[in-house]
Amino acid sequence: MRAKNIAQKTLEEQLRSSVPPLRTADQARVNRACARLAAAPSLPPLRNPATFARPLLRVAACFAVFLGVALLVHFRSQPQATFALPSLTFNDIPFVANAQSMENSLVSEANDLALDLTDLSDVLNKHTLAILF
Amino acid sequence: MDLSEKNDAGLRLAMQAVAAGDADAFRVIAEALEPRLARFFAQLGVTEADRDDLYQESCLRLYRAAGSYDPSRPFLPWALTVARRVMLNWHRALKATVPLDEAEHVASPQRAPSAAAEADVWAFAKSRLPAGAYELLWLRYGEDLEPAEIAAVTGRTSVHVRVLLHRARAALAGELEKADRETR
Repeated sequence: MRAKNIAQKTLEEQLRSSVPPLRTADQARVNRACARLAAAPSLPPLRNPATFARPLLRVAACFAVFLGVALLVHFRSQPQATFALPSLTFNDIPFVANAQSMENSLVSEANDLALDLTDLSDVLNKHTLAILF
Repeated sequence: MDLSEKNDAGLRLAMQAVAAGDADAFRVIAEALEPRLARFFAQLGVTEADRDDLYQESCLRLYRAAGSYDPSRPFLPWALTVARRVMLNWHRALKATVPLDEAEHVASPQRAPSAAAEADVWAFAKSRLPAGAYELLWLRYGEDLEPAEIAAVTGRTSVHVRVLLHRARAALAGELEKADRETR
């Protein structure tokens, strides 16, 4: 193992010491490269795409949150279906207090309901018989 | 100007200036890179006729990517990453144009005389090792990059690079031993 490590170190030193040395810069090549850059003035340094992505993501996230909140508020603010209560005034108290009037109204409603239930039973019976036969 | 650690800081500043809009600042970078890339391309098989084109293309890409360069990171590994991609594109384009009956000759390495092995270990390694293994050895011992930097340049993990380097060294050591036996 030790011999292997020494052999590896020897090889590494051999590789490092044999690296061809760097020459001085070829100015003609450098000038050509710089001229090529200058010849393309419409190619400015590209911005890092990530610099646009983050702000865009933030805007999108804010928009999504805002939309969610707006929808939530919209659905909650919709009035629930309620029956319209008559607007009672002080002068209506005698009418309200009139028990007979109340009874008549209730009886009328009850009759309507009974009729509806009868109709419904009739329809159900017809369908049931139709299934059986 | 070479690309030693002391000068790396200067080149980072130059790239920051380029990113800020000072196009003239790129000349400093171009001068520092020219001998380095010339040697890099030569070692990795680029013909002399094409080295100038690849150097210009690398400079163009570095210039355009100035905005994405992170000045807190060393300059050379980043520059070599860009240059390597340019070189790989050149290799791909070259292989596509080689006629089929010549392809085998292009693929098979030429065996250098074993007597020259010690004199020029790099030429020997180039003739005996696969291109990928040679490239890793060059990046490590020629360009003096750390395995983590080589990983960034080649798009691998640091662990993978260490394993491949170990194999490359072992393969080279084996070839040197074989060459030594052949000369006896």
